[in-house]
Amino acid sequence: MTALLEVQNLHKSYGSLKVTEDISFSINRGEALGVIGPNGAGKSTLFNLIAGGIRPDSGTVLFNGLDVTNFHLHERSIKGIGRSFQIPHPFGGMTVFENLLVGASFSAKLKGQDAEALAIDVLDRTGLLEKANRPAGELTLLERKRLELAKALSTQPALLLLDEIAGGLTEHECHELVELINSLRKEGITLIWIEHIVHALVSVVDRLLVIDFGVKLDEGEPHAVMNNPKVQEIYMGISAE
Amino acid sequence: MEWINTIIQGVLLGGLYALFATGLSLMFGIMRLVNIAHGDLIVLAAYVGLVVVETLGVHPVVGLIIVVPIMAGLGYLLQRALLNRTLGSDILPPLLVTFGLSIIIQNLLLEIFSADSRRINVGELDVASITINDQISIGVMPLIVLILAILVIFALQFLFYKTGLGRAFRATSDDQDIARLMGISNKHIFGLAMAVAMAVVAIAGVLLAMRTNFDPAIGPSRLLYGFEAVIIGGLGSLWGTLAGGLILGISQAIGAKIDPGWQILMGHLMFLAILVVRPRGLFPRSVD
Repeated sequence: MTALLEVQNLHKSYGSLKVTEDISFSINRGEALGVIGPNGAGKSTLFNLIAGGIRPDSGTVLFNGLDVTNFHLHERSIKGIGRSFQIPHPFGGMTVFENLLVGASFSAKLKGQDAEALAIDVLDRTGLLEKANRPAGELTLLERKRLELAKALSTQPALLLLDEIAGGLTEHECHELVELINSLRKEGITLIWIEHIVHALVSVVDRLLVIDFGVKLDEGEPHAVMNNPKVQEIYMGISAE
Repeated sequence: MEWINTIIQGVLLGGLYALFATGLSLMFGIMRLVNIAHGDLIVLAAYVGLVVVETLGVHPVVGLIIVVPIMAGLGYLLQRALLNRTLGSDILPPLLVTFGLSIIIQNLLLEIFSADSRRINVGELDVASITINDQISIGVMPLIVLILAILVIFALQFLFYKTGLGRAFRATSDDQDIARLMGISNKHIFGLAMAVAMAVVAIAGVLLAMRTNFDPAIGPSRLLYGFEAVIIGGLGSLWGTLAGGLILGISQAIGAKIDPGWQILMGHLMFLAILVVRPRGLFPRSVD
């Protein structure tokens, strides 16, 4: 199986602050990778490097065998890299439905009724159908989080980057989210998920990647990684069970 | 009755100001671009209109079919080649570059067309009017301008709220980076936004040329009226911009009624008064 995403020796510094130092990993089509690490470890920077928000100082990002390191943000979105942010960014002045039509028509390149059908399907799956015609700016925080995921799905991603999507959810909501994410996996969407709620993460992902101070600390089967003494040092008292 | 006539004339004048302002409103609303060259682009469109009408011998309104695409195309190229490079977190570069553009356009027009005052001849339409009673009569030409201004705003509302391109404009206006993440090329969308704005500029320029005399130096004062109308109406609201244009027109008409020398002053005073009472304009789009 060929890798869908291959990240090779990524480096990124802001002045003397190294936020990403020689990070390499790859993920196969259909796989799910969890990313953990303390706050400020460079997890979100890694997402920005993959999705195209920032360019690395050196290193390459291969997507589907294509070198996308110098691709623009919108080009990567059209190629199939979708992402959701930790802090939701809805288009506040547009309705929830319109928010999804943007991705459906410009990233997934669907026209007219096809775009609408995709938007409605995504609304249904993320539980936002009743809110379709409400302005996105009026949503509650939980609804905004759902919309954030829905917007990423409206671009029909082959690779979906989720940034701390479970933060602030109740146990029940978290369970629903895990079910939704598992159903996405079944459809063949490849996932990279940054999450502090490790038990939710471990219930979904095949592998874990641990980052600390911009450096890859460990990578592998979730339980093995969580049992690594160095990882336990960071995540004191948090077990994978 | 005389005052009613004054207000009607003000409304008609306001239609033209609203057209001046709509292009500015679009550029600022979508790209946060403050275009100092806006007035000069209107004058440029007036000259393009003049050349088209005189060369082809067509009616100016028919000439719009040619002038609008020319200006829209120019707008797209201008945005892609120059203005996109000035946009960023700093507001100063677009101001400086469009200020320079303003000087360049004025001097180019002066070089090509001289400083003579020109006008597009519309024949009988110029003096045609609808007489309501012995004190009120409505000029046909100003009425056409007002109706066109309203149609333009209806068309833009439709474009913004009912089409995919409009959603892209609104999404980009809301958050550029997130719009890009949704597959929108912001540079292309900005080019299209400028093309739409310049299409409106083309209409405003040709109508200006049909209504009054113009020369290469009148751009900056058109810019000022445009700015005032946009700010009175509230940034980012198209209907607000129309209202701003009408308020400015009515104020000027009332000023002129009191004393001919007060026409321009009265418009500025009304602008300042509204800024004092409603600093964000009459119909601000949102609290951001």
